[in-house]
Amino acid sequence: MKKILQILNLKTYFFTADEKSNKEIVLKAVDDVSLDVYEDEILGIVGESGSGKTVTAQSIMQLIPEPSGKIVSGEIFYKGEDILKRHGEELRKIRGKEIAYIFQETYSSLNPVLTIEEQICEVITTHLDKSYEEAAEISAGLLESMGIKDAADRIKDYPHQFSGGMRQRIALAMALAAKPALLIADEPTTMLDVTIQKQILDLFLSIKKNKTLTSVIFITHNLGLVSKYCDRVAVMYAGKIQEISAVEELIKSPLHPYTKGLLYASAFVKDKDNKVYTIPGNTPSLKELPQGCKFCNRCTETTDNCFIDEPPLIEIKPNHFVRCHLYREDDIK
Amino acid sequence: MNKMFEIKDLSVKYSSKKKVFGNKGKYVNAVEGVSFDFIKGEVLGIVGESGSGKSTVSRTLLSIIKQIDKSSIVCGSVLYNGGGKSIDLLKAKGKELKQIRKKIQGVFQDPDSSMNQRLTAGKIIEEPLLNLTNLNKNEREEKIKDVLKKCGLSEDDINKYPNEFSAGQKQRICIARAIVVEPEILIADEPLSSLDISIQAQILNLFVDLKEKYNLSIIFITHDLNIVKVFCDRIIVMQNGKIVEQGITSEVLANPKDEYTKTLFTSNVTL
Amino acid sequence: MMKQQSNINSLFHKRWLKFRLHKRGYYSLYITVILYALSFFLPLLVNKDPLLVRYDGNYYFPVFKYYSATTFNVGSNGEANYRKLKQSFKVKNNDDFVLMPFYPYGPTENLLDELNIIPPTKPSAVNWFGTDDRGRDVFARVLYGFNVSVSFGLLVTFFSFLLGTIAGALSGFYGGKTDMFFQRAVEVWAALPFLYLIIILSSIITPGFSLLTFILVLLNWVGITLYVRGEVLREKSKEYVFASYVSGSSKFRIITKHILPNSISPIVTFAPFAVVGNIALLVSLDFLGFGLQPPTASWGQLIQQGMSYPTLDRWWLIIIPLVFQFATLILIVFIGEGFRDAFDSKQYSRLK
Repeated sequence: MKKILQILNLKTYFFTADEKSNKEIVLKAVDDVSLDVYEDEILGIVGESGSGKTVTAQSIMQLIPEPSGKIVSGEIFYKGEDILKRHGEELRKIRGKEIAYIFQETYSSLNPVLTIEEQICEVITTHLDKSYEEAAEISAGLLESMGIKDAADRIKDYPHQFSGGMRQRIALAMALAAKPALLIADEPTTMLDVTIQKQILDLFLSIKKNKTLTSVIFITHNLGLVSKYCDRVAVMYAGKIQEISAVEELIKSPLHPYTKGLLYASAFVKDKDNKVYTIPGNTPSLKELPQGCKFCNRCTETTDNCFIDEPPLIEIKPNHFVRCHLYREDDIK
Repeated sequence: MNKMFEIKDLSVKYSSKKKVFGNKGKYVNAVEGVSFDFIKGEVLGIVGESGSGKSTVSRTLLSIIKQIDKSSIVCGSVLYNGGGKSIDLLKAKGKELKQIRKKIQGVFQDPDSSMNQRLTAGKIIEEPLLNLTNLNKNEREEKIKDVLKKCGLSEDDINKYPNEFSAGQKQRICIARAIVVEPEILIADEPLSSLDISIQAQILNLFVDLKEKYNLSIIFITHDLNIVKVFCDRIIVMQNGKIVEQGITSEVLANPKDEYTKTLFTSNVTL
Repeated sequence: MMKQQSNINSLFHKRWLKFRLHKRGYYSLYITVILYALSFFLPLLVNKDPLLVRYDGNYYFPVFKYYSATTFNVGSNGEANYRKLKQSFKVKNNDDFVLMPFYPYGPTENLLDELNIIPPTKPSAVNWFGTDDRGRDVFARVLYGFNVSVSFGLLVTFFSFLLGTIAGALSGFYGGKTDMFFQRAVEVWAALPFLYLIIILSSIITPGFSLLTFILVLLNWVGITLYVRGEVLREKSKEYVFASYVSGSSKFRIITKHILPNSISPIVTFAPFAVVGNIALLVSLDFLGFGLQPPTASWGQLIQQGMSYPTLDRWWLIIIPLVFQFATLILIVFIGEGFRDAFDSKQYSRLK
């Protein structure tokens, strides 16, 4: 299968100062992440707070706020070209036109003082060579395809006149307006009700049939959604990828202890003491990460080596990668 | 079967157009015709989406509706049967209300916004003791240390500020605050929703633990059916301010009768 | 123990640390506080009364106590001129001495008989900043004036903020009719012709320091009201307030222990600038003659004396008080900037 996006050894760090000593603290939000996105797939990136999933996505679009944050090193190849080397005008040609982004907060994509028509038309006229009138027609059509009734009339309304779910549909329409090849959706349904969530995600599945859109990166903390809507999934923890595999494989036979813990905790599975299964400890603070494997202080299956060396990401089964000392090169089947 | 709450025809209206003089404003029905019983020792789940009225119900039972919105109109009756007496919660005032507050406590969704960030954990937990009990300083401190331990925190955390804790620990402080006065009823309004998944399970175990230790009856509001399955004895499903279905959890989950309930269950993705 | 310790993580401590990083503001606060504290000791440093007199075997402390001139066998009424007394003791060359303060002139004493020319006199080795048109030493007047001006600024700011905060808190918390009442009050007060009222009041009752403070507070209290009201409105709908109700807190406790401490941001950030404004106001009023009256030491008055002369011959009466006023105001403005930085929760970032 062809790759549409290839992230190689991405490192995005944030810089802040300790309050007392005023010394600089480096927060390694994304620490050496390598990830491939193939054509015609929905890739899920799963993680909790501090995992680095959002920062990874933002790095692709170079949305990291400076000077507090910086993409320190790494390459991101899109259709063979390292897009991290693009800046200014060149970067703008990719943003929106080739790669689109939807935010968690529905108001992040939408400008409250412009009508929907103005906003979608702006995207179309910027990236595609169309006049405003042509753009307006296309916009109305897009809204219809996103399931908004009476699109021709409603297109002249303002964002606040729509509900949260509808705003997310509009954001999706705007994202697809310039016919991108890759869509990055950062927790697009977290703020929405469960019934609306289902509608929006079903919509995601349907747009994959769209000819120009090839792939979707779906960022979430909800393994349940990943199991239903994604093809492959990458699990992140403390700025590193811990496991990558096809979704069914991950649910059936998770390898990494964190993935196992996350699966059980998400399903609220009860253990022998009639308590719900938990991962002990707290979500990692990037200021105080343990030496060795970043999960070692919460892991129930540690060996001595876990506290000293960081395990590498290895392909244990075909297309199933895991970063854990429990699995060694010679175990590869 | 001891009924802790007997709620009949509860309706709560918020005014959408506020008038300073007179009452002629437009009203929005947040909750309409809600009736249910709450039995001692059970965990009752209230499930619904935004606008369902579940938060309004929890706030009514915590007697803070009037404090949130002076102009709101509350009708119906909420009979509280505790301590041998039967009181209408909606009419309780002054001393009677204070006695009730000692018995009915709450935990909210966002631990950050439900604590005053300027106070230490100790002071936050001390507040209900100061207001609702007559304990002296040392007795209060004893109780606070005790409840910190029971909630999985350490005694030394008494002097720390909320920003020194992780999200899960902050929620533990809020829970500690709720149970330090040893209430009979705990009303938890989506207490796990803002936490990471691995932490949610920990806090849920804490609820199970405390329920046993303090003999609590819990009303648990959530939108996550996985939690309901594992923790709630009975559930109530709300939509647009009304109850659309209620019953024993296993029965409702297996055979939902209402259309909305069915949609809700199918939309909910489980592993 | 259960005390609210000065934990490094308390919000107050954090803000203090952030303030300290703002070097200009921090040093300004340091300097201003020290100078202001010192200014209360001016009677020991700049005074016509000596700290200690030894006369005829006895010790006297004129700086603390009043002695009639006859005590020292000079003159028949009033106080002795201690500088002359000092000279006379020197001539006598016995054990009697006069220990004068560092600068031996007072702010309100009339030096007509010691001056060779008709006042006002230019700065000299004796009177470092010269004298004003009544023959009073300007150096002393400028320094005492510092204490008067800053005290005035602080007091007016403190009391008007106190009233304004109470009004804003009640207005924001209770809403409804209370809110309507206070908001209209603010509007009415803001529309008052401030200067005219001061002039009228001043002409009827020539105000002393306390009365002037009182009048200004009365006319000025609305400044902070709407800001506090805004903060209170925002805080009262927050979940920790609801949680406080559930914990059984009374409305009074919620306002005083929860809402107000979280609403002090506008108070702290505006206070230094209000102080600056009130000091400038005092100087202007004194200049116009509607503020503090002589012989109280006042910068505005000195400037007015300097300006009343057709040419700028009396330059020292204008420049020197202005320089002091400027320095004071700049220091306090820097403090204000520092406060603002410390309380500003927004972090600035640029997206490429």
